[in-house]
Amino acid sequence: MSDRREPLSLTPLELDALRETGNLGAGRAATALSQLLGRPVGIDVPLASVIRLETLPALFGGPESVVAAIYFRVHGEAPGRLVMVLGQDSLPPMLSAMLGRPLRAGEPLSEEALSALKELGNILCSNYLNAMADLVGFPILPSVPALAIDMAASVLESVAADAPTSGAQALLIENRFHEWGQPVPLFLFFLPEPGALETLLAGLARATGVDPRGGRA
Amino acid sequence: MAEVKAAKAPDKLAVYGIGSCVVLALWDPGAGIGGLAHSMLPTAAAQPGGEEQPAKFCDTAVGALVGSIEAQGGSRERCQARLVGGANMFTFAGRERGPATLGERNLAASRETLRSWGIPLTAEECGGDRGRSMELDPASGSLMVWSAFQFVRWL
Repeated sequence: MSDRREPLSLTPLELDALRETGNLGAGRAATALSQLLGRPVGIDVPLASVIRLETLPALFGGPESVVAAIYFRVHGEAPGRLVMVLGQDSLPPMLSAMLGRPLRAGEPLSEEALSALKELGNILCSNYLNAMADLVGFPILPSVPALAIDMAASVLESVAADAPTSGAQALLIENRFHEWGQPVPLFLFFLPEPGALETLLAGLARATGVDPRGGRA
Repeated sequence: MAEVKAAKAPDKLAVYGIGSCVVLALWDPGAGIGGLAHSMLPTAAAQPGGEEQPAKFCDTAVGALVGSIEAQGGSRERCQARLVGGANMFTFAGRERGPATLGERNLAASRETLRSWGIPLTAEECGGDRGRSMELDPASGSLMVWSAFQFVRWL
């Protein structure tokens, strides 16, 4: 079997189903975050799409733009890699929310801030994966998180090389956090292992009673 | 990524944002020709169909890059090699002393293949946990490497 797989091509209905699952996960993550922070946090999911991995750095301003990435290996029947990426503009508002105070001028990125970022990743990603697992009826389990703050291309290239689908495409779910006036964007990427996306979509089709590939079979 | 490219002075070659990948730079001082190979994984034989994408793998990338340098009029006998990259960007908690990282395995494959080709490895900027960018000037052979930052601070 070669790694040059058929490109992922999803129907609008399948993308809708994934975005809805994203919304469900975002709702749960918002509840968990609101409890943690002691004030309401809203998250919506404006977009789910499939993109080629090499186009990812452009989303964050180019290959050398600094991003924070929290990385999970995903185990279970639909294995893959899940990455949460915050661009440079999203980091300060997200960090001050997690730390419960404004960032001080000149403040270095402390151990406390790094673990707050990992915790944010944990909350968001585990709620997403749980929402998905509840729908499709089989467990989807994340590893412990790993964190990198560095150039977008360096980070995403390393994820691509670690994923068995190297050179392929990723499912992108965009989240927007509403709490700080301007919505703060945060991106989730799922890189499915071969067959994992099909397993997920079949599970979603069973759960909703709708065959999202209907009409194309 | 997964590319080889050779160029003649005054053109320059650059890669921005290298992580666990390895970039092999070959330079032929006699001809003023340089080339870069940007590879993701250690060995082509470990992956079915790997030999069809030689640039993607550190071992087969050496031959692919020598080929493009010679196609531009360079010579493998005059070539010097340098390596950049092979970082470990993500550290999972409690895994500090694990098996070799992908970056380390990439570097090992590059070094070993260079040895078997008899191409001298003159310098490295490798390993660690930081991403790197680089630029090669085939005229002088100058190879500049830089990282995004040494710290993060908001001012």
